[in-house]
Amino acid sequence: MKTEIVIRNLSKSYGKKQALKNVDLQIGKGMFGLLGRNGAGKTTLMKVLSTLLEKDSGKIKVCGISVEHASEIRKITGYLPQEFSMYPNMKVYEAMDYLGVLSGLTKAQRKERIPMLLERVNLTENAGIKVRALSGGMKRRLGIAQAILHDPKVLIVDEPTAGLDPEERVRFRNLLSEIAEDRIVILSTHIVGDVEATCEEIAVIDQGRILFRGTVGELLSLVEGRVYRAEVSRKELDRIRSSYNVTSMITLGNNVKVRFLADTKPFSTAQHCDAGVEDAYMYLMQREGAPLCS
Amino acid sequence: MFITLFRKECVQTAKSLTYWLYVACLVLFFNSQLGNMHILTPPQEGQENYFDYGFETDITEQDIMETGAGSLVWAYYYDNYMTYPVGFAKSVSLNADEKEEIGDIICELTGLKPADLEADIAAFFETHDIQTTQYEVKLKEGLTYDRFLKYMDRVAEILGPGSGYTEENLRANVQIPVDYEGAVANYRDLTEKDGLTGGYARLFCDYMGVILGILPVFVTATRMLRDKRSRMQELIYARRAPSGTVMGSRYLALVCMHMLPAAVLSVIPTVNCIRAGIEGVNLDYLAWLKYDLGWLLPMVMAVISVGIFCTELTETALAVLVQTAWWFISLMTGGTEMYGGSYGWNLIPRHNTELNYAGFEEGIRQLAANRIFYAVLAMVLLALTILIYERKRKGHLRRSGKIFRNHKSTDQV
Ligand SMILES: Nc1ncnc2c1ncn2[C@@H]1O[C@H](COP(=O)(O)OP(=O)(O)O)[C@@H](O)[C@H]1O
Ligand SMILES: [Mg+2]
Repeated sequence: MKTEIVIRNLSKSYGKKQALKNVDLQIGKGMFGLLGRNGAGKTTLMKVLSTLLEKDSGKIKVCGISVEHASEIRKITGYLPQEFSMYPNMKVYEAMDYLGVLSGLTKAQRKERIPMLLERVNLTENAGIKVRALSGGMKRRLGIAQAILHDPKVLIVDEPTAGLDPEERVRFRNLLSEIAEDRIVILSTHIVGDVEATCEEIAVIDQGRILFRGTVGELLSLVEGRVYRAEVSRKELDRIRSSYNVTSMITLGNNVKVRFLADTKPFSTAQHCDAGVEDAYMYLMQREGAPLCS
Repeated sequence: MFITLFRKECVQTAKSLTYWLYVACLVLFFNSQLGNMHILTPPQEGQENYFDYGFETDITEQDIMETGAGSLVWAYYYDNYMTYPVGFAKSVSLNADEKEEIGDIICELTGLKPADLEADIAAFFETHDIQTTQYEVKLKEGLTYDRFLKYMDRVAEILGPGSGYTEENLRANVQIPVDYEGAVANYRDLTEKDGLTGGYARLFCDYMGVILGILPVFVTATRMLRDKRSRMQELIYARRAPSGTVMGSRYLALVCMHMLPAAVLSVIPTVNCIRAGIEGVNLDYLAWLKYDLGWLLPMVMAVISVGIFCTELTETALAVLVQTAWWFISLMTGGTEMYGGSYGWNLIPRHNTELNYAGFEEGIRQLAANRIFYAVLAMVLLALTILIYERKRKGHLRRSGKIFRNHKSTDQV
């Protein structure tokens, strides 16, 4: 059986609101990044993959198993929700043990795997403390440990870096990369840096549609050689915004530092610079005609 | 998986505060109602009275009329009318016209004018003990039961809902203590047919039913809301454990953990019977177990199933409301059948005496049907709960509020 997820023509609505529109995706082994702003449909897609939501139409196969066979899918997938917690009065080890039972692990398996996984997410020393006493970062790591407790072929993590400080975020991404060595890890995020650093393959989703599917390099090539930066006054900014795709701006007193896309050098103070993933992402978002969220 | 989950659920329950509050309530209630239980000894001829040995069960229409009229005269004389509209005592004050009408009714029933009443009451208690005897009044010659009931209907109308003058309540109010022969017969039933302990086990069930008909719903609702409150739902949903296993083990654990302290307490009356050491009695050592399983278990099962069903369906504390209402209605309807014998379909059957085995024997088929019904009802509600859980696991029947909260919290990042 091939370690692969195939999604064909998937749609899902909440009442009138269509959250996923004809999504086609193929995901193989390794880290896969699902990038999109809030409300894009990331959580919906991930829940459908982990059987927590039923699709309206389309076909999904996870490692050859149709998503309709929920109990089979649940055996081979691990899921970390965007927002989660555990019984606050349980100790870390106890919580893992409880979830391990629900995953059908035997006592021997739990005894072997739980300490190993706590070690892996660096929580060995916290095994005896109550879940309510964990910091945000520790809780996330515990979340990962519980999701791979039954050694799933597919790990689905929804916005795992939200709420972490920059250092924790980096460590967390590295942890996920390690886990992805022998399985599929799908990670959703609205932060470009998360996928840039760790994901080979990515998809950009907006308003329920896949806007881009490919490698980070391919995403970059969308804007390669067309990125300029300049420091301009606020008045000039309006002119630039009306004629070019602005991908970022930082206000400095009366002036604004902007990055924007242009096919040729637009004016003398503009400097050509290297394209970043952020530029490509913003370009994609604006090409769709949707306003920027920031 | 089921057994391990069941054990883990039991441990979780044992660690929750609400559970220990439940245990404390149970113990306190037991102590207050049955704490100094005295085991009945054989009646002796020539005893002053036989109040402890039960009431006459064949009540005649004459008895009902005399006691009913007596209670009306008493209320009229003291101008103190009580009703129990929703179970709580309420004093009703009547206007002059209504008082006059009651006076007229009394006159129709007894031939006594308002001015004669005091003398009659005084005369009655010349020969009866005021502490233990209900006042009864001589009726007019030739008063028929039908006519009597017509008058009582009118009285009930004047006093409003919950008065003691409906036929059912009038009958329930008649409590005529047995005489020596009756006492001997009742006691023989208790020792021979009930093995002594049976009667006390039943009395235990009668009392404990009053709180087992409600308290388990609190622990249950708390447990069921805990998944949502701790945001643990999705971690469980995504795992392979079948919904039947998750809910079934949880249900079984709740039932066992609720029955456990009740079962322990139920042994105490049996121990008391053994310690009383009454001669010539063949004790039934396992009566407590039979009554725990046959009488209390179906009730606890039903209450907990209402708890899991309502909570899983609405994710609110609705179950507490529903169960409180049901409990209340049960207690109210059971209030007229305290002496046992007619159990009907009441969730909380009453048999507020260690005696009256005859009544028990008469009602046992009904009681068995009643208990089986609640056990089956509990299983049906459990099955429905599993279905609901299974639907929610696949994203149906869920509230959408959570998603929007998500957005707020991630926007701030
Ligand atoms: N339970 C729901 N009911 C109604 N609309 C929903 C529900 N969940 C999500 N949505 C809507 O569907 C869209 C996609 O949401 P979601 O998948 O949570 O996006 P993301 O995870 O990318 O932020 C959003 O517009 C959101 O408002
Ligand atoms: Mg989301």
